[in-house]
Amino acid sequence: MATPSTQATVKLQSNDNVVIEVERAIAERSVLIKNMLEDCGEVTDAIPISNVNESILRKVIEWCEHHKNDPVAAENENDDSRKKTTDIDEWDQKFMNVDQEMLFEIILAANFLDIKPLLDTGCKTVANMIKGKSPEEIRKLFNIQNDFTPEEEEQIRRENEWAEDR
Amino acid sequence: MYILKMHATLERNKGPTGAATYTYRSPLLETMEPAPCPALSPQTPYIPNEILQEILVRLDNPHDYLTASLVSHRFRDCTVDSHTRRKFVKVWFSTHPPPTAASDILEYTARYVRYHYAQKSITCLTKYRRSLRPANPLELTVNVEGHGTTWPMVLLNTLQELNFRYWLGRDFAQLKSVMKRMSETTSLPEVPGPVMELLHLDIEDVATLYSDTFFTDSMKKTSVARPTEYGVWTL
Repeated sequence: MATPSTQATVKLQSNDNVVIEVERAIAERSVLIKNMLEDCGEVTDAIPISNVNESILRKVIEWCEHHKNDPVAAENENDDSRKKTTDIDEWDQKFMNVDQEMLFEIILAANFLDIKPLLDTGCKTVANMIKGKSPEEIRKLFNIQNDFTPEEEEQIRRENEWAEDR
Repeated sequence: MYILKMHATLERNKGPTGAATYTYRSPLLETMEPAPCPALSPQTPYIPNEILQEILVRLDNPHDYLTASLVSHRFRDCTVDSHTRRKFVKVWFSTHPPPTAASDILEYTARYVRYHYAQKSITCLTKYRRSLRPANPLELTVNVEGHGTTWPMVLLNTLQELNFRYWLGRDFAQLKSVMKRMSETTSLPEVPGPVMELLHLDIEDVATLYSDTFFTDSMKKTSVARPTEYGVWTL
């Protein structure tokens, strides 16, 4: 049923009803969209991306454009695709240099659109923010309430104690 | 989070001129409301636990992982989650070279036994506490027969085997099968990747390896028979 299409562009519609036209190859970085296009062949209407707003969608498309020539990671569920490197390349670092809210929005959009490398980059960025921080600093960073009682906190601290001294 | 396996459909309509037009319909996209999930803070958007776990597994340092468990109940639930712990180890191994030499992997296995021996029936985040380290750990001997192809696991005597069975429970059978498979699938001195998976390592193993700088040692390819303060593990 999936006929290879020659369609050059697809239209994506954000949840604030802005239609953005992008190259098909770029849109297909999203596995969600790719599968849809494969299933449906020609799609002339705008594809509604129901929980991503315009600015985030543009940001995501910007990322896809920059990475359009990356080899598509083998589609197995082994997480080996993110081999070897915990570093983020320079362009991605700049790309991810946005406020926290936007960063999380991008991660959520990447998750929804099923763009694994972008999700990976986003999560690594947040992980790098957490690295080397104390629990209190992490709470401050994300404005999280400490909902442990002092006793609970003490208990967990004792459980983790062995790992502290190296 | 969401399983996006639902199929979008194309609907065929008769247009006013009689020519067929197609409408793209995705039941998923039209009906799906963002699931309510807890926000990290009022400023950040709703971050489902699945995403938080994706972040945690990329911490790349067991100490940071353990520190994250002290942030809040939600963080703790995510770090304790066995799937996340397993995944952390998987990611950690995909970013750090695991030991590939046979002798290293055997030492590794011995360590695995030791930790799980110490951890048995203790359920907390780390499971492994100093006070619970056995005072007299059992000795485990694994023969690498002159770099041949057989790697039998030899327990020193029946009593010790019984002890192992008692302490390791089902893990004992698993360990044996791991050793068996190692001997079946490998040509020394390299150990195939799948063996690593069979070891079912946990965050504790990684944290301990990390703090013991095991990998620095194994890089030098000087192996084993390292006396530790807890006993000697002969390989």
